[in-house]
Amino acid sequence: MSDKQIFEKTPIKESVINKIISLLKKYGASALCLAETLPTKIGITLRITDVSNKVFFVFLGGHGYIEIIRKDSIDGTIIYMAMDD
Amino acid sequence: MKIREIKQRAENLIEQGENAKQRQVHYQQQANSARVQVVAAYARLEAASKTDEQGNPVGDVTSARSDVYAAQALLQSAETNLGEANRQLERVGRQKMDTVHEIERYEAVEEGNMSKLAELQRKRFGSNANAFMADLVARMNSGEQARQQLLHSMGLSASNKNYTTTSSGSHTYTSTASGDEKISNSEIDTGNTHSFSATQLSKYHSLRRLLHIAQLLDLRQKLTSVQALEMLMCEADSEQTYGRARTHEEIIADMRKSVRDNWLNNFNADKWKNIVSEAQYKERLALYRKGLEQIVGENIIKNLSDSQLERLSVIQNTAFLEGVPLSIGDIINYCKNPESMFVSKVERTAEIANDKMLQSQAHDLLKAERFSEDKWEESTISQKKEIISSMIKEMNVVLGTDVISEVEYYYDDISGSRGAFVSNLNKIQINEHILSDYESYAVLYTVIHEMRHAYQHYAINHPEKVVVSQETLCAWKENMKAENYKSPQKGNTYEEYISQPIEWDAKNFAKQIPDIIDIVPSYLGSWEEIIDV
Repeated sequence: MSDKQIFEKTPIKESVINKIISLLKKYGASALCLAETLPTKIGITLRITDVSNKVFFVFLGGHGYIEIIRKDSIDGTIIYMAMDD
Repeated sequence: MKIREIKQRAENLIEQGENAKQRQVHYQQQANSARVQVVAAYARLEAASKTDEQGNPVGDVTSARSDVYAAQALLQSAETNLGEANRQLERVGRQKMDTVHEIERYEAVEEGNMSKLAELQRKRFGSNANAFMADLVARMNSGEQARQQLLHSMGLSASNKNYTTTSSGSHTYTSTASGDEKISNSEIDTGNTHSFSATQLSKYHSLRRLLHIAQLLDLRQKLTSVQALEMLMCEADSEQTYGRARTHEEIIADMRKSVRDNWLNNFNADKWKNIVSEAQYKERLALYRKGLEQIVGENIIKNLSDSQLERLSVIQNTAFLEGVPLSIGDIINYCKNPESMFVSKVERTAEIANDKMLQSQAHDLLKAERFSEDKWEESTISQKKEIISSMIKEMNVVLGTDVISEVEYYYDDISGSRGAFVSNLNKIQINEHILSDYESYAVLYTVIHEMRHAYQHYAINHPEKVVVSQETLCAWKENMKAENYKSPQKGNTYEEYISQPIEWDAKNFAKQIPDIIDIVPSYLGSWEEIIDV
């Protein structure tokens, strides 16, 4: 299964999918194997697992674009943060 | 014939002058009475405006305000009439002096004629000239009388010339001055001083010097101007103004009041910024500062920043237009407590409703075809930049801000930086890298976010123009201080960054908030609940 295919069941736009894949690769992810949509009060939160069992949590804002990415756990270290000063 | 006309004109001018003086006195009294009425009306308005425990005014504010307007109208009318009366009095004074000069020119010519007639009198058949001489003397004395009357009516005095003829045919005129020895005009002109005493000789030389100087400096004209000015100053400071002579302090206080009422009150920085050039505006603001220094003192004004000065001008002008101008005490209070100039009376419920409306309007822009994602995706980088500028302009309309639509672009493909609002430049910065990125359309949400920051700054400086509560203004203002603003670049966590008032507000406004469990906003503002959008 390709990296993009794991997002087929998620409510995310293609442009955002491409960005997620790009960022995860940049921060050390191997081939992606699972993308799960988690229940949230606001926005979209994804748990993504790669073939080496690394886990990433991608948080999209209410507007549907990436705000932060954490690794290992839902409150783990932030490896990417979109900044609007 | 001519001297008769001049004399008639002199009599008319004297009568006109008396009438103008009476009108001036009348309108001055009217203006004084109107000023007292204005002060009393303000006092009644202030008393009526006091509120009871429920916050309701204790008196009839509408009626009291109407009284103020009426009293002000009366004062304005009286001052207008007084101004006209003063101008008329001045006009008549000038005409009188012109007539005095005309008489003096006439006298100079006729004195020449008198000399020639005297020559004829000494010759054969000279007796024929006697009648002409007598007639000439009579006319010159008539003119001189008119001249004296005009000068007297202006409160001026001059030497009294009296023309006579002698049995030998010579003519003289004598100038009467109290206590002085007389020296005739002909003696001055001819230099016939051989019979002078020492005193007369000294006087003679003094008069020759004065005459020479006056001729050189056209002193008569200058003296006329000085005398006219002295007359005006005396009348302005007359006992009839207050029933007694005004003190120096009263004159200065009236001048200050006039400056404050008619000039400082009419300067509104917000309005002037849109009317005049930047250079002219700065000059006017500097003059406003100078004027305030005259009213309340330089020490009180010197610590006011330009933005505080601008705010004060808006408050002062607004109060003036509402018929309740700021008093000196009010101005001093604002200057000593500048924070009090930026106070909002908006209720939180109104603020929340307004923010929801603004948010809706801002995001509705994205539904328009010109700002749609389809349009964006098919645009070049250059076209995307134009879309961003257009978005800023339309957001200015939504929020009431005045952010410069020209964006500053920078390039950063390492951090997740998308943009920033630079308050001192009133501009937005955008990371140009994003425009060619996968998520490039997200930058329009960044524009909404940054414009909200612009709105926050605008609200603090113009609380009267926005629907933002004092509580929110204080939270934003405190957060904006450099030492209070949290940022990951400073080592703060993401949660600390997003939880601070201005970022919590801007993130929510732009619908960028993700589902983060550790966010504890220090001030919720209008975004009290995290709801699914």
